[in-house]
Amino acid sequence: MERRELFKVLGATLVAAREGAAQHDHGTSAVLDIEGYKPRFFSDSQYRAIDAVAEIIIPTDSQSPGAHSAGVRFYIDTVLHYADPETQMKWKSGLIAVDEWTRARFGKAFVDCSADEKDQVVATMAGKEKDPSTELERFFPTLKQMTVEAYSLSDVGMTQHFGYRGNTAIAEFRGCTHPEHQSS
Amino acid sequence: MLLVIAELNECLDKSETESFALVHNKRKSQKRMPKQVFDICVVGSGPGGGIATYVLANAGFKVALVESGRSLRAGVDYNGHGSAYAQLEQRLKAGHKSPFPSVLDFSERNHFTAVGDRPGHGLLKALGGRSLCWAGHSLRFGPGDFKRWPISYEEVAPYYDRAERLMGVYGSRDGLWNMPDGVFQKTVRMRCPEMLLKRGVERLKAKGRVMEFVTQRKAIPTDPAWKRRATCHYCGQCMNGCDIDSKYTSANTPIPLAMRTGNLSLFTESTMTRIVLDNVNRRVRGIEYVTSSGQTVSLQCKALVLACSTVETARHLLINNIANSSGQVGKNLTSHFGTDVVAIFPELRSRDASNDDGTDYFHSLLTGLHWDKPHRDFDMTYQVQCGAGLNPKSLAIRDVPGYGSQLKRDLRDLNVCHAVMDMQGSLAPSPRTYVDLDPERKDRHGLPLPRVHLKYGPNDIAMARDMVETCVEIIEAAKGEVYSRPREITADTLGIDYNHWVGTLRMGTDSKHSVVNTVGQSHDVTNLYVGDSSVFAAYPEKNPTLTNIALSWRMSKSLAERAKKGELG
Repeated sequence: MERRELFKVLGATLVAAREGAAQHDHGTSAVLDIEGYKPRFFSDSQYRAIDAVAEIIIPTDSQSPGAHSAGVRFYIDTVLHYADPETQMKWKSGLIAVDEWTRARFGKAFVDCSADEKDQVVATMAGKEKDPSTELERFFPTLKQMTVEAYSLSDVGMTQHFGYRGNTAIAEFRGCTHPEHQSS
Repeated sequence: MLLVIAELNECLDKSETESFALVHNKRKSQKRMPKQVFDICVVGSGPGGGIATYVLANAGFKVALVESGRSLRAGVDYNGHGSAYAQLEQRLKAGHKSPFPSVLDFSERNHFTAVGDRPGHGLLKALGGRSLCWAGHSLRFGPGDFKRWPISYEEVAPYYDRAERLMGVYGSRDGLWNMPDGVFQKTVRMRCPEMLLKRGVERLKAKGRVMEFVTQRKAIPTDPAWKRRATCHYCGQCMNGCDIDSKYTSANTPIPLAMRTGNLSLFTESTMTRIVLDNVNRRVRGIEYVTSSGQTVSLQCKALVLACSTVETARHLLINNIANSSGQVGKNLTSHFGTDVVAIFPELRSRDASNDDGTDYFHSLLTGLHWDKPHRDFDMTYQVQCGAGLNPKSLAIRDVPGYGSQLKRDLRDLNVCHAVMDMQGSLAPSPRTYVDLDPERKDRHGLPLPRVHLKYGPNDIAMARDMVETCVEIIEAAKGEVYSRPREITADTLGIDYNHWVGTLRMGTDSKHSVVNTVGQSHDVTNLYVGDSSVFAAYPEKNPTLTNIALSWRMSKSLAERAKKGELG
């Protein structure tokens, strides 16, 4: 086919594609009722425990809102509801290990602990992050990995914490134009 | 002109009309016909099959394109945007792992058996094949690279020109002798950390080191005046599937164009199960394929183009036991392999998370290494794809110790100031790296699955060591810090690029040592042609797809000329 002809054909393609581009939507904000969500994998008290632990890992602070505001508990429960039995078992036994530790130490379940006591549990869990040996220590990387993932993917994490301004349609990509970063 | 637009919308506005499916269904209703007769049958609709279909249909031949996947709708079947939380329930319920609909949902991950050093095989079952998920990196092989081939750079160059014009490739004119400039649209700039890597390279070059640091070249249009597909909108989702069909794929450019000639019949969800030959095994008579409803259909053709992928095309020739008098089918398999080094630049730690999405991750390339003078410890060479930018959807650095406010701060700052240096080296061909048939495992049609064998050798280890050392030098010269690197290079620390396999049907002039001739025609079966990267005679460090497309174009032209002379009978 001649080049000229090709232009004619593809010029029309462009019209179709442009129309598509104008209609499609980037970065839609979810209308999601996280407050009203009923956990399906966790029991109610486990759900509260996960919410509290996630908030200690990713707290609300002067930088940005944390895991609770981001709805991390909803994400984790949904993922685990659909997860394979092996992954589900890992979380169930991890939560049991947490409760065993608080019962031995404070005589109560994790959810009933004070804020300070909860902090102590997480400090213990995270103590040997690189080289976990107990059930409690081994649960921490699992818990943290999913918390970080859930937080990063949330609207709160993405925009308020990371300040991410991407995932959008722009006319031109500017890249780095800082004079101090250019090679001489 | 209005008429043209209407016709094209029929082909291209997939979200509304699903015209491919309609055409396919029309065909389906005709399949009770005892025989379907075509001039040429192309099997596989990836980069090579797509271009062959386009060239041959435009040359006036009645072409059948047989593809085992279905046609996907950009923005519907794949769309990397939207809210992870909003889509989570629906996606997980449907059995997917990621909250974002991606072309990778259509990957066939278990369609092979791995033997040795953890090979992979990345099939994508959809119209367009892996042109849907490729990153678009379009680097010409250079005159130095073709020295290992039976054809020269000059013979392929006109097809590189044509391919780049059709595909819409951006890049900067760097004037590098062994990665020649092409037909380029305006380049896409690097991000800050990549600019700092470039600074490191410039400092080493000033001390006499031979290397280059350039912007990537990709099949993504950046010039709004170019009218063939939508201009990129820099959302960074290229490899999940471009939801506005800006990135070149077989499904959004050559196949719709071939369709418009009226010469193409598209058979989607149709899997080839047999190649039918004459009784002396010298000529293909046609193929048999199985439809999604399980019906076996015959299709006659005067010539057959196989473009099923390096692994799958070899598999089909082995299953049918044809075109292999050389015994080389499945041998000479090679790919790209590598490892990663991650840099951080403390001077960038507090910068804003600017929108660094661009055209996906890698905007820059370290190249020009060991082109002129081979390294003393290894043959061939590698390139290093470099990328940067914070993307919360896929944090490059997520394995950060600790918890609490410090963890939050580190996750943001480290990702904002990091750069990844991703090695892509030429795997040395070895007798222990090849494709054969699994004696036990079969696909759902009862055909043996392919076995992919991979074994790293000393050349590969030495090359990877040099890559890590070179990257560390660059990072230090740029006043950055090495955040992570493999401590020791062994076969266990290397990874294979499972989308870059080439070489199982090597081209050559000698029918004893090669499977196809220098235009991709089988030495043994004279109307059998190969349109995928399996024909590569040797593998430089550069990405395969642009060369696959150029060679398939060249093959198709040769086939068309022979057919016009009546040589196909």
